[in-house]
Amino acid sequence: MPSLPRLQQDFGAAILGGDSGAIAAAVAGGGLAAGNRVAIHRNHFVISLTEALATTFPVVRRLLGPDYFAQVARRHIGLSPPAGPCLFEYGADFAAMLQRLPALADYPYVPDVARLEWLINLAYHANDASTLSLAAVAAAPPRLWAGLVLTAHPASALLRSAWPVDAIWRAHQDEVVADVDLSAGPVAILVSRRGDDVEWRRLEPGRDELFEALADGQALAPALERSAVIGIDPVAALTDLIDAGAFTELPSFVRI
Amino acid sequence: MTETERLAAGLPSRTGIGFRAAHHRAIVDGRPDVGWLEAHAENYMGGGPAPRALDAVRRDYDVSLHGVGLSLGGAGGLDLAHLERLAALADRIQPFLVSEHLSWSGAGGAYFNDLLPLPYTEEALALVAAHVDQVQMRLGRQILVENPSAYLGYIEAEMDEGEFLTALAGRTGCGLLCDVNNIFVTTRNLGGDPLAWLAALPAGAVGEIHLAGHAVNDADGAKVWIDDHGGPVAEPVWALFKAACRRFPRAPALVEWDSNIPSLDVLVAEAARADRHRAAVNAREAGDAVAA
Repeated sequence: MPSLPRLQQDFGAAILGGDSGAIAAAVAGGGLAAGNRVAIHRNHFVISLTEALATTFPVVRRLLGPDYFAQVARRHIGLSPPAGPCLFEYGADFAAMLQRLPALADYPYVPDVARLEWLINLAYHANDASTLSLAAVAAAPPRLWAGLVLTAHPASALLRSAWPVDAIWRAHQDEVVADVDLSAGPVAILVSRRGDDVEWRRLEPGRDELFEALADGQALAPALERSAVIGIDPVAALTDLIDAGAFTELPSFVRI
Repeated sequence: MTETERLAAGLPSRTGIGFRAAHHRAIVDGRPDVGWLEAHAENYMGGGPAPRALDAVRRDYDVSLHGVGLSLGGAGGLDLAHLERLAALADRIQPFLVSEHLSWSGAGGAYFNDLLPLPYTEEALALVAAHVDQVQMRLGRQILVENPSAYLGYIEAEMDEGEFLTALAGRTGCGLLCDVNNIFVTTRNLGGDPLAWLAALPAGAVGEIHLAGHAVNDADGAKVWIDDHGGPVAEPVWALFKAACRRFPRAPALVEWDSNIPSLDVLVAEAARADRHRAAVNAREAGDAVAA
């Protein structure tokens, strides 16, 4: 009998798709061969984690078809198994793996759809926080305006893509997939969550940069000035971002 | 145990159900008439709507936290960051029970998303006991350890599962979670008599009973019983449940249904069926007591 660390190492190798001979030698057969018994666990590993990836990446699964998705997922699960037991945290590097697949070279938008679905997943599981309202900004004391610093909402995130991934995502919500104009990119999409509902919207050019500047901690006044310099309406841009739920409520000392 | 005695012990007298994402809205809004709720701890370790739903039902129900990822039998040691997340969740939810499995789940930094079988040896017993001590110390409370569904056994096992669990409870003071479906699945796959298996557990340590459905698959012409929690409880498992109710009269029961999840009313009806079986057992026991 191998030591427990050795036994688990051998079992792990079989689960990850490697040699199952060493662990099978330690397992009792009878009725069903030892190798087949170990294979039950190997299969559960692949099938249950394929389901976990399909839950997080439903539109990627539709784009690839269930059979090819299962093949791609199996490969990913073997190369990059979860690091921990919270499965909603599994799949962070799925898009990067798709990007490297030569078979998907003719479908370059698929990895970006995966990135959008990952951000939707992150937004759903992000911590709760009140979202900033326009009224709160308007009510902030004028002496604080110049130095006002906003905080990105825990659920909000920006995705830039050369492809209209939001339109691709929406087209795959229905039974019959609507036509998508693939030349309608590039896009900048802001993902956020209000209550239980994850939302996202396409940002007009320049508003993505304003979001990034504010989320990075740049004070409101210089960030808005910079927006005006690059030729966008700073108030409309800020209103849009706040309406999208991009920021958390101001701290109470600003709301006096 | 009468209902009054069970209430006095602070335990739910009626059967509970698993709290699954598919039913969050229906349970939060509808408050179904079930004894209690059990949540898989790992599903509530993030933020947002899922933990908020658990907080909401906690106000009206007793809640148990059932971990699936602590890997009590992992030779590489417990994942301390994960233990901290469990402790934080337990602090917030104040569950009436915390349970985990007699199994291991990963090696070399990879998590296998499975409850993998341990060899029942002195080496494994010492390791699991040390991990149970560590968890109970950190949580500041007793945990229950559940018997797994087994698809394989090891050639050089030194004891059977009942002996292993009895020794574990004796050494650590942990309680046991008796899953009657797992007993059925294990004894079908590996041989053995489920009633004898049940009799081998120390009655005083059992603090919860699980019920669930299973599937029967074909592997190269041999039947394999799979613990998929994907359907109603099978008839022979109901028979085993009644035996468990006689043997562990204080232990709250729970129906698990985790794949092919039905509408909430189907699950609630399954819990009501467990209540009827239990009431019948109690009535018979009371009758026997009077006759004696």
